[in-house]
Amino acid sequence: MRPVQSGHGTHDDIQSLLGAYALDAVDPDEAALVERHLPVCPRCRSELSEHREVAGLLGYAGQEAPAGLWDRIATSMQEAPPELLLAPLGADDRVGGPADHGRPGTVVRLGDRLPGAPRARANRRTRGAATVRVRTVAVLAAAAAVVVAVLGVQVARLVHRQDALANAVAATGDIGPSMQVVQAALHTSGSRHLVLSAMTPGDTVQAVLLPGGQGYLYYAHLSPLPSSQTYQLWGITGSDAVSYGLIGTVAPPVVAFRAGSGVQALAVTAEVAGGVVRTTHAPVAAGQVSPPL
Amino acid sequence: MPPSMLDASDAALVVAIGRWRQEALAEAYRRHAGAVFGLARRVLNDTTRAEEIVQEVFLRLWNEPDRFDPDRGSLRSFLLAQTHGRAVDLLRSDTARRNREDREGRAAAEAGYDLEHEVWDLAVADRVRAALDVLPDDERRAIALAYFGGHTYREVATMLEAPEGTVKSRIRTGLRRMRAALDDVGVGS
Repeated sequence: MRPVQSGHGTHDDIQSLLGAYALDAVDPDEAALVERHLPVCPRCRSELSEHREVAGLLGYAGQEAPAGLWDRIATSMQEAPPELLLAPLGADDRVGGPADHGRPGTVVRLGDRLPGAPRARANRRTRGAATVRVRTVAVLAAAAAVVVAVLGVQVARLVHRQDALANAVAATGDIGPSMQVVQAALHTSGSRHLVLSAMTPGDTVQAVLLPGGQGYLYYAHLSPLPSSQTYQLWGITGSDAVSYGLIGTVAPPVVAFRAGSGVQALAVTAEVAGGVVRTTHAPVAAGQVSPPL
Repeated sequence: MPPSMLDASDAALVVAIGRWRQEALAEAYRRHAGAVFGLARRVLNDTTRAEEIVQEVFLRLWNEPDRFDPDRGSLRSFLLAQTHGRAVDLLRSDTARRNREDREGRAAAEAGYDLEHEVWDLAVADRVRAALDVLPDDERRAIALAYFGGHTYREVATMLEAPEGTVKSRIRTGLRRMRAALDDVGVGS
C-alpha cells in the first residue's frame, strides 16, 4: 500500500494526474488532492474539461436506453411528494429528524437515496436555496394552520414535523452535499479529517467534521448491501453509540450528517433496512475523531 | 413535447429543469440516456446496474441541476463523467467482480486491446477512430484499461508491467493527443 500523501502537491504533480483523474483512475487521496486544487486553478479546470470531453466521445456507444426506463424515472419523480423527500425523515413518525439529532434512540435518514427515492426537491439549491426554503416553510406553516382550524388535532405533530423539515432544509439547503462542500470543510480551521479503517479490503470511507458538528462522509466506497440492509453511521462517545443516520445500501458520493459534541469516533455498521436504535454489530469501518469535538 | 424543448440547447434544458419542467428532463433523457446507459453497461457489463445508474444520473440532474456548469463542458460529458464515476465506484466495491475484471482486463491487454471496436457512435465514429489512429498502442491500451476496465492507473501499470508514472503520463498524453486530433477534424469541442 502506498503511503497517503500529505495533502499538498505541486501544480505539476497535480497536473500530471489530470488525465487519470478524468478517467476516474486515481486513488482516493489523489482525487482529493486534485479536487482541492481545481477551485483555485483555472488552467487545470480547463484541461480537465478537455479530457472529459474526449472521454465522453470514447464512452458513447451509440445505443438506446432500454424501453420503459424513462417511465420508471418519471414515476419515481412523482412517487414521493416533496414533504416526504425533503427532510432526512422516514415515512413514519418514529423516525427522528435532525432536530432530534444526538438523542439516543433516533434513526435519521442521510444523504440522497438513489433510484426510487430522489432527494428533496426543496433540497435543490437552484434558483436560490433561501427562496425554496422560505416557500417550503411557508407551505408547511399554512398546512399546519389548516389542520389547526379544521381538525384542531395533530398540531404538535405537525409542528414537530415542520421544525424538523425547516431544520433539515437549513442543514442541507445551503450546503447540498457535494465535493466542493467537502473541500471547503477540509480547508476550514479546526476541522477534523478522518480516514475510517474499513474491515473489508478495498472499502474506504473518509469524513470531515467541522467544529460546529456538521460533518460529511465522502469517498465512501462500501460493498453494496442487499436491499434488506442499510449502512448506518454512528457517533461514539465513551461507551455510547448514537445513531447519526442511515446511509443506504450504497453510499452516495457525499453524505451530510450532524455530530454531537464530544464525539470521539465515527463508525459505520451494516444493519437491517430501516436501521436500528442500538447496534450489536461490529463496525464495517471506524475512525477516531482527534481531538474529540 | 413542446417544440421549444426540442429546439432548446442543452444549457437551456438545464435551466428549464431548474424550473421544474419535467419535459425538459425528458428531452435531456432523449438526447443522452443512450450514451449514459451504453457507458454504464460497458464498464459494468451488467444491464440491471446500468439501468440503475441511468435512473440515478437523471434523477440527480432533476434534483440538483445546478451541479452542471456549462462553462466547464457539455451536458453529455458532465452526465458521462458522473456515469463513469458511479460505475467505477460500483465496480471497485465489488471484490469478486473486480477480481474477474482484473483477469479479463489482463487477458484483453495481453491480447492487444482494440479500442476502436469500443467506439461506434454512428455520427462521429470515423473521426474518433481517426483520432485514435494517431495514438501509439501503449497510450491507447492504458486509456482503454482505465476507462472501460475501471482500473486505476496504478493497476494498469501492474497489468502492463510498466512504471506507474509512465502509465499516468501515457493516459494524459493520449487524451491530449486525441483532443488535438479531434479538434483538427472539428469534433470534440
